[in-house]
This record gives sequence, C-alpha cells and structure tokens, in this order.
Amino acid sequence: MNDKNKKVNIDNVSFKLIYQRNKDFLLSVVAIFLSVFLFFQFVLPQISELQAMSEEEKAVKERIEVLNYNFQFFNQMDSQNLDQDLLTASSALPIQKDFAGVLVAVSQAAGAAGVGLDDFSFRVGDLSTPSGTLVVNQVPAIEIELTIRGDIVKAKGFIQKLSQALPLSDVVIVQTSGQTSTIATNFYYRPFPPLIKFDDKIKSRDLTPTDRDLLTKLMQWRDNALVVSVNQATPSSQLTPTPTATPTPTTVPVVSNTPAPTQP
Amino acid sequence: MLGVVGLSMIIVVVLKFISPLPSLQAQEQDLQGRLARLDSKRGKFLIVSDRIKNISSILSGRIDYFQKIDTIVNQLPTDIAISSFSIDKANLQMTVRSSSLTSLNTFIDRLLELTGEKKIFTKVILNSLSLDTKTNKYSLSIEGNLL
Repeated sequence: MNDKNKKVNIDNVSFKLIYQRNKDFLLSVVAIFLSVFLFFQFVLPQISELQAMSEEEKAVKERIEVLNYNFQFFNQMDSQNLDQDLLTASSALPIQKDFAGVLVAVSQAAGAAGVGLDDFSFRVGDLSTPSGTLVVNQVPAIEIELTIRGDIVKAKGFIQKLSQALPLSDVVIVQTSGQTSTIATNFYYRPFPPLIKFDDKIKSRDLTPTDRDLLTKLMQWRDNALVVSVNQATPSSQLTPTPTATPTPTTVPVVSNTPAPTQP
Repeated sequence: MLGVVGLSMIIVVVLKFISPLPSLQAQEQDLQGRLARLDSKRGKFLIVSDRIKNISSILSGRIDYFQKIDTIVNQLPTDIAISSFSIDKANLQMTVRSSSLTSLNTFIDRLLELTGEKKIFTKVILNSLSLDTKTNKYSLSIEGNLL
C-alpha cells in the first residue's frame, strides 16, 4: 500500500546520468518509433492506394477492351442492312396498334386463300387500364374476330396464309359451321421502350444464325405480301390493301450512359 | 530502418507517378465519346434484337392449326361432311354427317389411331351418334383433347 503511493523524485543530475548511459539506445528507439509511425501513417496508405490504382487500371483496361470491341462492332455494321432489319422486324412486330396493317394482312391472306371476308371486329383490350391493351405472352396484342365465307378446308388455307403474313398473328380459336368460319386471332405489336440504355460493360453480340434465318423468313413473308398486294390491287378488293401500311421506325429513343461526342 | 521506410515512400510515389491509369482513363473517355456517335445504330440494333427475341417467342408458342386441321380433315372418308368444327388451344369439337355408318366407323378408327400415336390427341370422346330420319343421315359428334 505504501509502495504504491511512494513518489520518486529524479533530479536533473540523475536524469542527465540516465540519458548519458542510454543515449545510443534511446536514439534507436526513437528511430524505430518514427519508422513505424511513418510506415503506418504514410507508406501503408500509399501502398493501399497503389493497389486500388492497380485494380482500377485492370478494370479500365477491361472496359476499354469492351468499348473497343463495341466500337468496332457498330462501326463496321452496315447502316442500310440494319435499317432493313429494323423495318422487317417492325413489320412483323409493329411499334403500335397497326389496325391498317392488320386489315391488309387479313385481306391478303383471304385473297391468297381464295376466301371471302365477311364481318370482322377488333377487341383492343380493357381501355380502363392504364395500358389499355390486351397482353398475350407478355407481348401486347389486338384480338380480331374474323368471319370468312368458307368451310373448314377454306379456313385452313386462310390460316396458313395468315400465319405467313405480317404483322405476326396467332390464331386462338377456329369455329366452322356449314359454309361460315369464325377465326379469332391475336395480332401482336410492341412499342419502343421509352428509353434505351446501353451497357458498356458487355460486349455486343451479333444476331445468331437462327435470328438471321428468322429475319430472312420474315423478309420473304413481307415481300410475298407485297407481291400479293400488287396482284390483288383490283377494284374488287374488299379492304383495298395498300403495299405498306406498317409504321416505319424513323427515330429510336436513345439515352446513352456515355458522354456526348466531342467535336473533332 | 528509417532509410527503408523513406525508400519505400519514394518508390510508392514514383510508382504512382508512372501509373498508366490517367492515360487509360483518357482513352476510355475518348472511346466512350466515339461510341456515343454510334448511339443511333446501337439503339436500332438493340430494338432489332429485342424484336427478334419476341418474334421467336411468338412463333415458337404459336399452335400450328393448319397442320392440326389438315391432319384431322385428311382422316375423313370422302362420303363424310363436316357440319361443325371448333378448335382451340386445348380442345376440338366436331360434328360430321354421313349416310354410311361404315364410313363413320372408319373415321373413328382413324382418330383412335391418331390418339394412340399421340400425334394430335391425348383423348377422343364420342359425344353422340344420331340419325336424322328426314335426310337419312347419321350425325356423329366427337370431342378431343389436343396435345
């Protein structure tokens, strides 16, 4: 108890004596403390920063590789072919409810199958909903109910021709009674997305051979329809089809996450 | 030790100074700028790809009614006429008429064959068979569950 409260007095002489005795040792200790302090305070953060820079450098290199690839990919892409592909794809899947296109497709299919069209009625969907659209398989559609003059064999021919007409359709129900057939069909459309954002971290991939084949098939269907349309352009045509009724996509809403191009 | 720490500091500073990061970032910005000039093409390409995906999905989900109707109609003997026919995604209902019971029987046999082969039907039900005494024609009504 007394030992703990005991005060130790070191006078200047004693202090100098201790200092003189341990002078070399003290300098080393100060140098070590200073080194440790500098190491932790300056060197270590700098090394961490260097590591972060190295990682960022790696990431930037990867992004540059992707950007370079994408630039080459889109730079070499033929604009005319791309416009043609867009036109074909948009003929098959219009950007809006293409009533005129639907009527043309129906009329051409009827003409090609040799059946007469009677009534037709559109079912656009529930207009009280914000979208006001009928959605089938996550794609908006217009449902049309057609009545054709013809038995099931004629209806079969009409369905075949309609399946190769653009805009794309999907027969839902076929009902035949005697010489009258009623066919309910969905015609699809897909609006442009409000904004398109590009992901510069992903390499753009070209269309697959299957996609190319599909585009070629759609192009053939469109061309065939035009031929039929020209051949049908007679006063007796019921719905007076026009060669092209598909809304042509002119501008594409684009929002890029890349900076605005710099003027050369 | 102090010297080693000092040397480390100098090395780290020099390494930071000679880092290619700033030039790489400038290169990245330049590429982004050049790519931004191709945004119209990129947008069109994205839309084409998206549309192709949806078109493929629609076409793959489309039921080939032509082929189904064709197969069913081809089973009909020549002296059988279709009175009514209704087909949707899952069901078929049809009524046929004929003056020959043998032909109707042939038709039923053929439909049963199709069911056995699991080509179109999973099940065929004979709903009714009646005779119209005025026309002297049999009327056969059948229902089928489609594959």
